[in-house]
Amino acid sequence: MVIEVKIDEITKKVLSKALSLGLEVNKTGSLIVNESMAFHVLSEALKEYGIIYVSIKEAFDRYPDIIEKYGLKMVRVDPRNIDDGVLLYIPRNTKVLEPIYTCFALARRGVVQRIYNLYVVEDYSEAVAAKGCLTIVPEGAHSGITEIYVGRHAKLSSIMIHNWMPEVRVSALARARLLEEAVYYDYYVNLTHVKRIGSLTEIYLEGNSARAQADMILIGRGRSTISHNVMAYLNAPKTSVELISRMLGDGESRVESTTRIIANAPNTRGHIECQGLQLSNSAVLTTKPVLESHIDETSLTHEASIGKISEEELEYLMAKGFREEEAISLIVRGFLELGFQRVPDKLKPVIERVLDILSQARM
Amino acid sequence: MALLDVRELAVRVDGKNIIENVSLRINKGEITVLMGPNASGKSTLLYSIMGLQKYRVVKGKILFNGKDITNEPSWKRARMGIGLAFQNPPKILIRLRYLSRKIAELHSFHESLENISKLLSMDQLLDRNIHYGFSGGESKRTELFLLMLQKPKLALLDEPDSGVDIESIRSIADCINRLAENGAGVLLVTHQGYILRYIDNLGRGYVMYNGRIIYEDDAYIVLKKIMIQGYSGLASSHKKA
Repeated sequence: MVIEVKIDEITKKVLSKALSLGLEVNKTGSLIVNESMAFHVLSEALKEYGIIYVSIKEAFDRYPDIIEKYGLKMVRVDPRNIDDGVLLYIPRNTKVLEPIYTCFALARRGVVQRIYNLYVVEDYSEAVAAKGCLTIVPEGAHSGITEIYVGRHAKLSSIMIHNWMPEVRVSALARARLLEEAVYYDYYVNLTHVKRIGSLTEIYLEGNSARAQADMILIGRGRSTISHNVMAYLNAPKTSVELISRMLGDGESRVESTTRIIANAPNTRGHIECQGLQLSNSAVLTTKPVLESHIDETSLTHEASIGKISEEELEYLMAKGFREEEAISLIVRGFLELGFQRVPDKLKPVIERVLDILSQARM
Repeated sequence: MALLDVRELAVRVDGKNIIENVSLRINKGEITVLMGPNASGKSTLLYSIMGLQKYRVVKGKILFNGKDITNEPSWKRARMGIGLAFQNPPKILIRLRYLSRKIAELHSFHESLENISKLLSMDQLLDRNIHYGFSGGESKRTELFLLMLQKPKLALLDEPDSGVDIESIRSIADCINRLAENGAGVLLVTHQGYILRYIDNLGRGYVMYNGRIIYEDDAYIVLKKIMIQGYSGLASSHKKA
């Protein structure tokens, strides 16, 4: 029997308890790991359903079996070098359809924040994980590693929103492993001006008929340098993947998106779509779609384009009553929305808010 | 005072004179028809009234509600109440539903969007990117739908009947009638004139030929003349009623 967990109801209880304890948590249910008391209360409430949602340090102490079975498989991490992170474990036959929000804040100037997350969605289960990383200090470094396991017939939708400041450097590594019929959606968006982001996401489709989709929005502002890499390995028959990236280049930013699909098994399919919108002559956009086949029974395709906003589109929207900057915002929003059309319903309000923020800000 | 008063207008596009010495007047609640063969300057006249950048007025004036708008940008004219339904609108990656909401907000359109969308059978198009893969009829209906959300005082319609099936022509004509009933002045450009049989209260009719207005009369008479003489016949007699 599949258990459906109503996370919004749990969150309401947690918030009311947190408020009664004097914690100022916001109404959307976003929880900051550093707010350990609220996090602890949510964690306790989820435990009732067999869901483990604890800080990674606690996980190393209390759930070494899970860490050993699923974690640290693809990366070498010394637990002593981890500052923060979470373990999210969804047991077999359990569905959590509302997003579980986690937020990491870089709060001390000039330090390197090291995060390790482990997400495990067992067979026939489902979860939506929303992560936010932000900074409240102008300068520092954030290094994040996330390992993901999606079991047989399980599904995980993960959204990551980066919200940094101009002197912050970020490195992020994510590795996902998918078993038979597993489905994994990965959404990434960076909201603000940042000094440098270097990221690598690797998706290993290990079970027959596993599917994955990665959508990313890469916003280059000011003098940001962004290098985003996604690699998908089609290692089992009938697996499929779609990698979609949209880049915006403004100011003197440099944005590079490298997407690669490696087909190692028969009857597999992969598609890459990269689109760039150039808003400044001083920005540099680079897109590198790579298709690599080691087998003849696969179908791999890609489309890539970089362009600027057309005069005709601007003219059209201005004739409807929009000022030039409003027309540009509408076009930018529409461009960014492309690809997010398959976002799970529960994440749509999050995406809508993000798109509004991105399109309203002067690019 | 006429709602729109175009006086001796000359317009240049990409360094070429396209229309010369064009004058016309449109009143509130009146449907005025502009006819003419291909490339006679009909669309150029509409785009010039709308204020699109490429269309440079080199002589004459455009008065809207008595105010000289000749040098106003298109977005200001739209906010004053001038709306244009494009003949060949560009494809844009914006969901129609989202754009509709934004246009309705901008022009304080408080009626339910669904009512208008039903009127024009738009339901299946609302979640698509605007004009992407739309048929000719779908694009025309979309343009009219967006125009109605602008609550225009003056509606400029550039061949809303071209490439459209009979059923769609009727619903397009119904919307045009509704615009006029609500007090809007309408300037309807039509190439073939088929749509006019569904228009309730036709006002004046103008014929453009080689960038000039060559004939003006009651719209029904204009239509009749064109059917008998053709545009070139009318041009060779080259007289204004």
